[in-house]
Amino acid sequence: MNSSKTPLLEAHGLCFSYNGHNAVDKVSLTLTAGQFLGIAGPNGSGKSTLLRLLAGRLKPGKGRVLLRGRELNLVPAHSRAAEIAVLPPEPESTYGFSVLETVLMGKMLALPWWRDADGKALQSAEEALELVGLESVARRALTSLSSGERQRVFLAQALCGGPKVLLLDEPTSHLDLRHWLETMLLLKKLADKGLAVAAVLHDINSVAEYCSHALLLKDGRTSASGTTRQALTPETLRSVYGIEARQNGSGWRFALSDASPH
Amino acid sequence: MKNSSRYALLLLGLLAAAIAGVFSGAVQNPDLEMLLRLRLPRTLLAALAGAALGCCGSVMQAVLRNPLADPYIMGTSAGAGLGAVCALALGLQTHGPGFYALAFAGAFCATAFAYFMARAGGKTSAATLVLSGVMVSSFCGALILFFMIARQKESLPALLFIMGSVNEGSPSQLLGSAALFLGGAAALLPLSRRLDAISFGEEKAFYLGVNTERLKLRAMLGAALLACAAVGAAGTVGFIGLAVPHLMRALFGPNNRRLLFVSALCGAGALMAVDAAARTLLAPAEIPAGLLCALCGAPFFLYLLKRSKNEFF
Repeated sequence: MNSSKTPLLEAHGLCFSYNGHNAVDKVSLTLTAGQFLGIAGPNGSGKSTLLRLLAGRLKPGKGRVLLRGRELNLVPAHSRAAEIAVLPPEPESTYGFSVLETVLMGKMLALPWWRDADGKALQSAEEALELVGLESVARRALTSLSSGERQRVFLAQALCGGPKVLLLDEPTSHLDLRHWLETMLLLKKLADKGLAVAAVLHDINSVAEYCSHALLLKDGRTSASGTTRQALTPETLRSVYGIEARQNGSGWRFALSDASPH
Repeated sequence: MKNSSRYALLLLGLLAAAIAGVFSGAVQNPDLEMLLRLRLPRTLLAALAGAALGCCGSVMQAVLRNPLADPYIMGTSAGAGLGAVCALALGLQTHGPGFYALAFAGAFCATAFAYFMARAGGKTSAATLVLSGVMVSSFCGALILFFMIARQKESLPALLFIMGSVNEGSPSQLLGSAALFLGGAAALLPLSRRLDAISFGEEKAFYLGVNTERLKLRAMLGAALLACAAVGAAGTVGFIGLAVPHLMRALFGPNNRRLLFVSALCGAGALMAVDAAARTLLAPAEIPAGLLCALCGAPFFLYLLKRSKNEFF
């Protein structure tokens, strides 16, 4: 995953353990502008933990995360939030904020508490809602939407602040086929425009088709990394998932292997 | 209904409650001097306590992401009551600085203890939180009763703290509660945007740039100041802090900058009205305001539980 561009986010030898179990073990990566990194691996392989480490939510036991060359845990919270937007898998929504209020929330935190949203902030929120195709529900309560729609609202919230790095944990898990396709194309387009995107994805075909780079994790360790073409091979997929994988055109077909450890 | 109509309705209710507070009750031949000397301070104390409880309830419901949280259920009011009773036991002046300092320490420690006891693995379950708040509240109540039995001389003020009751009060009581209320409101208003963000969960708020641990500490300190203001003015009155934010959220939405303000207004009106009713329902006898609040508030809590279909847990 080396690139001639200046890295926005770097991880060096990250380790993190829960109750003595190594969830992430010596993982390193570099994320540059325009890169779309797909992070894949079996359940419990440390994908979400890695994403939380990259977002600064968890502090690594060993190793470090750098944002534009600066230790992430030394970056003030508001500066971190301005640079890195994160979409967790299932954000809560306890009270009935409207969709527009939800999308504006990141912008509003940067304003003094007595000031209302200005025209510029409202315009960015409306543009972000348009990107995810939800401009028609801007005034509705978030709690009245389906889980798929809510997921797209939080994607709009992440985009509204104009981040440089976008980290997503299973961004398409609640989406129907059309919205899944629209979201993957949107993420690819955003990366093409210079955003650095890293997404935890379960679908290897999505990684193959839309991501520029891939990182395969197994038991918290890096099994394969590099460009999508380098990282996704029948050998690496067999080693990570214990299945037989065969390339079929631009996609992959899978079969259970007798040698499967599962 | 437009927001301006809702504000007008709220102010009208507040005015009606204030008039009822000053002019209603078992008074023979009321004169202006008596009303100004006795009723006005009492009504102001009820307004202060109600405003503090409304504001405190909305902050607790936001920061704990639990629509069932309020200073009474979470043990904050009982902690403040215990602190106040300790001040009486130590011979400190009622409604003096030492009295309020101990009430504040009691409120903060009780809330923080209930919160940290309910927290496990970085998460706080709503059910555990309510249970731990109820336990802290019972424990503080038991200590107050213990004190009453041990020190019979000071048992009447202690009983009033437990039951929640507004009386004519003194200038120092009014000033002390007003200062604590203003301090609490001034500490909490600047947090309103961050309270909005934490409604989406601590992880999401962190990603939006909120220092969640600092926010929770500041919100609990502000809530403890407000609970102290309420306990200093009217003892441990329950359920205003639960019902008022619910009603205001339904009318004005969940935006905390607006919610803190309208909950304070509605809480003030509600406790002034309850105090007026407490004086008039069984006149010339007076019912403690806390008792009336519990009579109306406990069924409201059960209604919320039933309506929630366990989704708060």
